[in-house]
Amino acid sequence: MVLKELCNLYGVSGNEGEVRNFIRNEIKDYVDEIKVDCLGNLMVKKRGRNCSKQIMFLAHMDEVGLMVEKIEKNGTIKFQSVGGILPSIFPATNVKILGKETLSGVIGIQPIHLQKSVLSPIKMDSLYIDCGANSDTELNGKIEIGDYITFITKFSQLGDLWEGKAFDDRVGCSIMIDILKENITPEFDTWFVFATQEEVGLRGSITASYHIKPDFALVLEGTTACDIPLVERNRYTTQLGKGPAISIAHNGLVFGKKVFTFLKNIAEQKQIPFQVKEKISGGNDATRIAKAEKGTFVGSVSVPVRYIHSPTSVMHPEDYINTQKLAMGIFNNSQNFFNQ
Amino acid sequence: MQDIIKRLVETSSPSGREENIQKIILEYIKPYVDDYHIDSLGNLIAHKKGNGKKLLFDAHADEIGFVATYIDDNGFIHIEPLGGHLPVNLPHQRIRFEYGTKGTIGYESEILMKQASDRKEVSFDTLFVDIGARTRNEALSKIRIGETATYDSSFVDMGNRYMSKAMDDRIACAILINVIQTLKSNHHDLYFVFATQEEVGLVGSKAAAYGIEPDYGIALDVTATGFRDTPKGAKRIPMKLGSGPAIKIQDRSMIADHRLNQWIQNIAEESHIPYQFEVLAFGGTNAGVIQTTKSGVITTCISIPTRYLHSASEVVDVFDVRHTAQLMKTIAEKEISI
Repeated sequence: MVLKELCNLYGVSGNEGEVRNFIRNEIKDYVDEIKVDCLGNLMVKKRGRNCSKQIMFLAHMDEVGLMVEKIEKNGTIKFQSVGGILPSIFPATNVKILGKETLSGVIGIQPIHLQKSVLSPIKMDSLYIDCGANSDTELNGKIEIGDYITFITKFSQLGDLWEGKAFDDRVGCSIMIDILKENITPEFDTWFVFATQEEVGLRGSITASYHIKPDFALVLEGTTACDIPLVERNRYTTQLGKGPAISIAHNGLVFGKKVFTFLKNIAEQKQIPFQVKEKISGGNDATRIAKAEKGTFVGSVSVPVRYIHSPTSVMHPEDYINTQKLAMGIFNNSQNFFNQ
Repeated sequence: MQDIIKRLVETSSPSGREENIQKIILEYIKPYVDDYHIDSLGNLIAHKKGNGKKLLFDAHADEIGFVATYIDDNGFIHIEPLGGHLPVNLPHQRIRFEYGTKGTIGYESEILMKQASDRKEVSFDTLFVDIGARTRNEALSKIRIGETATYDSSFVDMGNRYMSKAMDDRIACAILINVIQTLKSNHHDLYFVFATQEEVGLVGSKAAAYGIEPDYGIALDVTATGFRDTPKGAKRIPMKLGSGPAIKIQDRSMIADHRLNQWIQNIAEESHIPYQFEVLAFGGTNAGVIQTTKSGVITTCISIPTRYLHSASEVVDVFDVRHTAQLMKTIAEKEISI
């Protein structure tokens, strides 16, 4: 498993090169074909015994992060979010600015006694990055507008759980790498797409699906878990430790009964614990894949992640193992989908 | 036609679960089409051959609905929306699940009181469905997680008007069935798409149009009515019940092709079919995704004015239904010249 290494890499949407190179290196000996398209999607093929159908597994490489918007005369840096992040979680977060030089920074905010009310929501306008510079001239030649900024939390153990950044969706990437390394010849040609720019609008998956034209596709994701204090049970969405979450519907797509039943049956047959995602808010690349070309059968299986889209998220190792088992079951039995 | 409308609107088939409705539509059209197929997204695509260019008619087969996602210890079912629901409209509505279990949407007094100051208090987080179960186990014997539901409402003939759930967009499906059944000759190569998952994001139609590659596309859907229809109706919505089919100028998903609109307007006048125009500041239809398919399709949308959209009691006017069917049939018979 290379989840730890993957999560420690930097790959904010549009800047997935480091992640792509790492994955490419990990899997190159186990695949029959490697392609990178103009949006940066890494698409690799595992040739099957039968090429009459194309199966596609997809996980996105990118993570949420920030971007330099303006360098102020006083040496502080204004920034924008890349992907959906609540401004309230920014203050006092350590980041790295990936310019010509890599600079460490901390997101600053007015001290508490100067705030009008500690309860008022934090706005982007009041936030800036302090990288220790006293003027913009100190930063000349080091960083410029448009440079990516990334969270830097390192993967580590948290009791029985794991903490780290970018579980959404390096966890999907890591499971796909696990499957490839098993080096099993599938029944049908099977593509593994490590997609770009999911967090900024499900972009990479569009071109990848038009290229591969899959007959059946599965999206492997990290999704919201809300099983935390002060949240009522009916708002959990998913829970840690209860296994992979199978989606019924999400923003812009209802998953077909044929797909939903197929995924559930594999979990039940193989006695893999699973849960059904209980809220339909949010969406993922499946929405794009479904609508590509003449339409595609697509399913979505996710690992529950607490504090998603933040500098530090938390997940359960057993959910990783069970999601991997389910994904492996789908990889080995995709032919059954067409025989239902 | 009334019998067909009644059967279509009373069928329960929300977005993503269109199998029931497609089966019924197919039953009506099978003897009258040259070929048909159901694609991977569940679209029913029927073909009536012609020598001219390809013309696509689209009506969506799905209706808004709900899906059961969680059953609590008291046996209440927690649901999520399929399509656009306004939660404040939902309390005490009866709904019917896929396998027949019925229930009412409930909420608690505390929420009722908070709602006076903040409508957002009524949401899918605070609403639940009471199916009469006393425990979680009893509920689980009646409902499965992932089971869908729709309003439990039946067709009412109000004389000059019809009332039911799912007029959006089964009324258009009924009209297309009528066109298919009664069309004597057609110039264009005609495709009829009964599309899936319109209500969650114009899903089915996009894939269907990609496969067909039509030269012309006409979506048939419902539209809202405004101040000319009811005294306090929206000031910026000119559409009205009983004034005939509405030719769409624009909505949030599309600016319709004005040449095609002009041609439709001309044939409507030649055939003495009443019509009105539609400009909608919100919403969109399948026409929006048909228009931008591949290298582009000359597209418009014809709408049936409908009151109380997305409710259990959507109301249409028989006059509008009859004339929309007549207009669609006239379009299907002629050669489009623009």
